[in-house]
Amino acid sequence: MSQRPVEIGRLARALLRAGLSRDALERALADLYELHQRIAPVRGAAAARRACVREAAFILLWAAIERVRRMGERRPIPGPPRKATMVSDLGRDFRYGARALRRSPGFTAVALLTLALGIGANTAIFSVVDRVLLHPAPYPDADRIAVIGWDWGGGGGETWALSQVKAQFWKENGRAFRAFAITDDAQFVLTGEGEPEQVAGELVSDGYFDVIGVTPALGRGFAAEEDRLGGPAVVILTDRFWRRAFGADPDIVGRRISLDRTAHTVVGVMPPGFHGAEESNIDVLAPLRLVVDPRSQGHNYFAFGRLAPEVTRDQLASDVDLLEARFVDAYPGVVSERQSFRFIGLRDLLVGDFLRTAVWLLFGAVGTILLIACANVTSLLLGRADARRREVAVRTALGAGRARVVGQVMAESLLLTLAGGALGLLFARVGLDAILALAPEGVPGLDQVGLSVPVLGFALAVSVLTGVGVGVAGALSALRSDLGALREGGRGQTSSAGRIQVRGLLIMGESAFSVVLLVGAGLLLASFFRLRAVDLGFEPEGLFAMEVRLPTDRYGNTEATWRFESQVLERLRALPGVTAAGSAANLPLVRGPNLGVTVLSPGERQHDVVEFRAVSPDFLDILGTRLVAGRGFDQSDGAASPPVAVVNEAFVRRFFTNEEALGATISIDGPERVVVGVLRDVRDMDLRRDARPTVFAPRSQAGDGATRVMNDVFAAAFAIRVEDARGLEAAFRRAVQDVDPDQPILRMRPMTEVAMASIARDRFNVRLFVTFGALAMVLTAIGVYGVVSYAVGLRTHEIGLRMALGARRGGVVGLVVSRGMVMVLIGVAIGLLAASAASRLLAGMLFGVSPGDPAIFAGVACLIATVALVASHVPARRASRVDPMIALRAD
Amino acid sequence: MKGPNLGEFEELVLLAVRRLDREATAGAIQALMQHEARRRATLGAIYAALDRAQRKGLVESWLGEATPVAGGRARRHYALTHAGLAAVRESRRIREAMWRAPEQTT
Repeated sequence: MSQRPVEIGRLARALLRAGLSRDALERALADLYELHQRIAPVRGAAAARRACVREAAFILLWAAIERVRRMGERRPIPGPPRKATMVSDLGRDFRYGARALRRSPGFTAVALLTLALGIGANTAIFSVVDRVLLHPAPYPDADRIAVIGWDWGGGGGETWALSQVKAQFWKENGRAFRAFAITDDAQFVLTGEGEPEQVAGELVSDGYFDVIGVTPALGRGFAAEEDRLGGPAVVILTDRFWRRAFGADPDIVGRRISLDRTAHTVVGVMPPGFHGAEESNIDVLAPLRLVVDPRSQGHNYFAFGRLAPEVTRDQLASDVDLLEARFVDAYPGVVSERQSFRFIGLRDLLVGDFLRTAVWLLFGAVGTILLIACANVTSLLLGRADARRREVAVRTALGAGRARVVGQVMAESLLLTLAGGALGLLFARVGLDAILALAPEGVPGLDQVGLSVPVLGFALAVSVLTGVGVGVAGALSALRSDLGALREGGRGQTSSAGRIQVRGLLIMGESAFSVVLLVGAGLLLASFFRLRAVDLGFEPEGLFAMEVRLPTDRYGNTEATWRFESQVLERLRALPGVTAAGSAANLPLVRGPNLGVTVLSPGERQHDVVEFRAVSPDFLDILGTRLVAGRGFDQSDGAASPPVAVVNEAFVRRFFTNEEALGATISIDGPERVVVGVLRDVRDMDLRRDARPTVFAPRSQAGDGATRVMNDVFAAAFAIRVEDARGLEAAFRRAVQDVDPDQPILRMRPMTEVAMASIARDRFNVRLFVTFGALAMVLTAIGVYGVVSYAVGLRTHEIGLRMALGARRGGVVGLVVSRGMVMVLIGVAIGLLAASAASRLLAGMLFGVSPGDPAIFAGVACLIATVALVASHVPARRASRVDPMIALRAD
Repeated sequence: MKGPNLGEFEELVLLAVRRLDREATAGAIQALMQHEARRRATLGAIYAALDRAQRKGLVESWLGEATPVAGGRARRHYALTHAGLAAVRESRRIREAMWRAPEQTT
């Protein structure tokens, strides 16, 4: 029996060899032998051989058929092959990149975290920028809405509110406006829906809905006859109040609710996102029903309009001048020479210079952090590129084009930044919650801030841009890899040295950026401490404040108001731990009324508008204000006694020399008053501004008209001096409700909190800036540490050599540290220069600190240098502990 | 690969692989098909079917030991994968469903 291969026939074998792959040939030969063995014993060797040749022919035929079929499967449509290749290359690059990142979890984690911090911080602040700066007024074409205000002249500042006469004059004569409206804020007490509740209202004139361009989502707006005195009592609810107080009752329209014990018919509900035109957090809208009293001079009416379609800003400006001239003619004696009308865009008014600067600066700060984060990641990628030089060299040697190598690096960095961006969104969500929790009250649109579609788009764009930026740096570096890396043990010293230079530059940039950020944070911090140290003119410590809005239906005159307050004060003073209690028409540092004052004597008559504060006799003592001259109020200054007034130093400066003030006669709220004392200035509303001229008068002696206005617009306040207010709040509340069970409490808080609230925006800025500054510093420290470690790693051999030749440990540490520190110090110098330019942007936000404060600049420089020194000292010490023998053997 | 559409020949080859268990070589498959299905199939056609099934993940293959019958060469053996087994079962289910009496088909 022959088992020699020759038996299946030369022809068959030759055929198969010609057409089959090696594996297929082996398989076919084995099976053909078996076939031959099966047939030959039965039908003879020749028949078996023929069968084998025939099978071999079919094997070849089928192999050919299959090959053609598979070619067809692979390229079914002869499309543009280049594009298909690029797309499949891209997919492969991403898959490869993902594998590579998974293989080095340490690198990936550090890079991801750094990027996520940078992108997250930017996304969080951008969402604030988007809402607060770009879309603060939730009205269509909000940039066509302008607000008319009043400039007091002579450094008295501007008020974005008008008196009744002025507001009505504009409403009747403002030709530049398509629609014009007047609003005033008001407080109501809601009863009949559980506990009495304080409700914030906006009283609106007709034309209001045309100005804002928003109409109720449910029901209707106000009809013209509803804005007339004696018209039906109607209200429109905001969406928020409708949900909070009425559980979003769909049948609310037409329902009657009790506000200030008067039944009001609900005629509509505003859409979500509407919070009132001037104030935010409005609950209800009600008709204004303005009846102009020419004697009323308080500038408490918000007057604004929607510009007619073709009116430009310049035209509005000339209209303002024109109307001013006509107003002066129509009302002689009301306007002094320095005073004038002003206008401002609603959006600009809502945002304000301070807020705008603050938010843009924060945006700049987080942008800087992102740059630092990018520098760190680039540095990491460069280090990685070095570690992979051999791989890249092999790929290049095997024919990978430059585009392929670049694509590979780009895919990896894009994967990193996209994943970093996704993680960053999580950080942004958390950060945003923190920002919203810390944010001061009254920032328009802040409640609307969230991760909206534009914000997500921003995060994606930032991630992609960062990925491309970082990737380009990495790709350039990868392309410089040469085939020298293939040599066994090839260190490619020149190339690595070049990369150290690149990383040195990155460190330099990081240090510079950190200096800029920290100088900003330092200046704001110093400014904040100065603001906190401002002499308020009173002592907030140990004082507790309780505010109530007194509805004018019950408290529309002085007698009822003072009776209520004195009865509450009596109960408060009787409480254990309370040493004194006083009341006032409004708290210090909170907006209060201004009234027209006429100084009758001495000298010629002078007229101006000043701040007016009606207080209980002991209120000024309880506050701890200090008298400069004369006396304060006492219990003898009652309703029946001759009207008296105390004025502040600013008032004296405005109208008198100091000696003349005492005994002067003034007329402010009706009765003529004699000035009996001069008070040291008390800071008002804004700690940054000097006190405005102010008149204090006993609450019991205030004119009925003034009391009505004050109660209508402002919250009356009790100041309670108490050892420890904890646990007493319920007793305070009871003291009010014993006197008037329907009277809700607006707010209770320590007076220190009132003082802090006035600098809440500063505190917010300081916190964010200090947080971002610290973040920048940590990132820079990580960067310095990474680069110095890397340099040490590369020079282990050299360090070992130096140690073997007798270099001292200190010398080695110094050598390593000094190389890193040179770059840091250059960066610090550049940063100081940049900060001196950039800090001028902060000037408007600073108080009592110059933008170029040398102590802060020097402090920041030292701080960064010290942090960098520590960061580079760690790897340097490790280098000095290297065993020379191990180092010399190191590759 | 969801619900691979087995051709008739492909199905016969896979059934043969299943029946021969781990002894399935192309020659054994050819002999079995001849014997049971009275079907003359060339080795080339069987190879093509097996290769295609292998690309689809229906069969797996390995080289056996070198044997005298194969002239001292190692023959390639085939076995069904889970997917292959599922494919022939599905094919059987379809046939049986189609063969049910007319009133049962609704």
